[in-house]
Amino acid sequence: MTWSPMFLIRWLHKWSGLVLGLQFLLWALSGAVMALLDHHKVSGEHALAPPAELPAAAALLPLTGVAGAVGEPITKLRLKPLYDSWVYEVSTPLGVRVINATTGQPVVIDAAKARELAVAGFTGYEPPKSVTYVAKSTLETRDLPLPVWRVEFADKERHALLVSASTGEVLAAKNDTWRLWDVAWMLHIMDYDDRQSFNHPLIVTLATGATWLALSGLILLFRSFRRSDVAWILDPLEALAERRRAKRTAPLPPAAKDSRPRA
Amino acid sequence: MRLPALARTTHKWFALILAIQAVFWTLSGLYMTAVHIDIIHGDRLVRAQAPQPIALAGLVEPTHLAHLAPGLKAARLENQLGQPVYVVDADEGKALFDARSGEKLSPLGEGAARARAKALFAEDGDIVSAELLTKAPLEIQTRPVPIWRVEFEGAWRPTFYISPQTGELVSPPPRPVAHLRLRLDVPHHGLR
Repeated sequence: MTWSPMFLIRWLHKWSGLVLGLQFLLWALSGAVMALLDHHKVSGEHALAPPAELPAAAALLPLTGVAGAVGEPITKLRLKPLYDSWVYEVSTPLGVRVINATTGQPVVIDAAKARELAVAGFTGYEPPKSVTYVAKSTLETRDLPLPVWRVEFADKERHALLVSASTGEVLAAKNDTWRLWDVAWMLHIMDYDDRQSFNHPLIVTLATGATWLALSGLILLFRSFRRSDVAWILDPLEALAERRRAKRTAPLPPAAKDSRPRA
Repeated sequence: MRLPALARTTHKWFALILAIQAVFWTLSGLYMTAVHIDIIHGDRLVRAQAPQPIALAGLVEPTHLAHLAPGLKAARLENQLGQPVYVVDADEGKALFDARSGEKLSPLGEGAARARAKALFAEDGDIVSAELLTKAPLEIQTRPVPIWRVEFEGAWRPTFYISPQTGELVSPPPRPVAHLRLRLDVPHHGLR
């Protein structure tokens, strides 16, 4: 046995395939799941209704009134409709406060208000099933500023609308399509706890191995095919060429014609 | 055909069809895992700014915004380049107003776009070019046009996209990813 380069590549291809095989399969399967799921459904965008258009408020609280109601320096001020009334969303060094834009009264996002906002922001007609307060990061809320209210609806897809407890904004909609997608995502990026990072040493190592697997496989392809593998296409072609050549050079005697195999 | 022989044949023929794509998939996967996402998003290139309190005295009152921008949907008062401005969203789209005089600032000209990008850039490099694009490049293909593209000198050519309507940084400059964009893009909602 000689250790020719081709032999070495084959040996390394086989062993890296043995070590990486299961993860390679998981990458292919989870990748296929993510590609096949409708990404509009995954994003939950169909579940979110655009904010209702409110007529312009007749008299808005002047800026001095806002400053008085908040009592802290203002770094950013947002005027926006929140369901049925105009509000100021006021950013201060101590956090975000929401006040009614006409009266200056603080808008408190409690369970009842969150439920009301979620119902208004949901395109489905099913009623909410539960309203829970989320202060600690969960899989569904890992990308969102906390705390949030989680309002789950009684629809088939089990939509959950996540409503910011500080601003009342509907931040996201999660459903069963997303939950399935998220499991595939976890398997794909091999971050089994947080499902967040795809830049960790384990996956970089395995990705290096997988790249070698693919590259060596490509190289080995050039030695993998024998004539017998493609006989089913070459044989009829050659027979055809042979027949044309025979026809061109000399007409066959009648006896030989009968003895030829039929195509 | 016996099972091992069948598997061997299948392996070979699948490989023949998929080999090139498999090399692209694994190479792009390796690139995406090995280069940290913060570098791809260019987070380091954007200056982290502590929000400054806005001086409210003498500013245009929010009630008046409905006259400046008919069909007002939402508005935001913030500091841009040390000046208070209103970013409004109305029937005619988004627009930028000087919060002191009520003067309409949008669409921003080249000078304003350059100043805005320069203020946001975390490094010291100078601007190499500023251009108003009417067709969104691949990097920010979902964003509305026209849009200012401001390029800085330096490694990987840091690029800022500034909206002429709002003065906002439209997307963190995703420079390296554009250099090696192969198939299998990470779905966007997986990132943030």
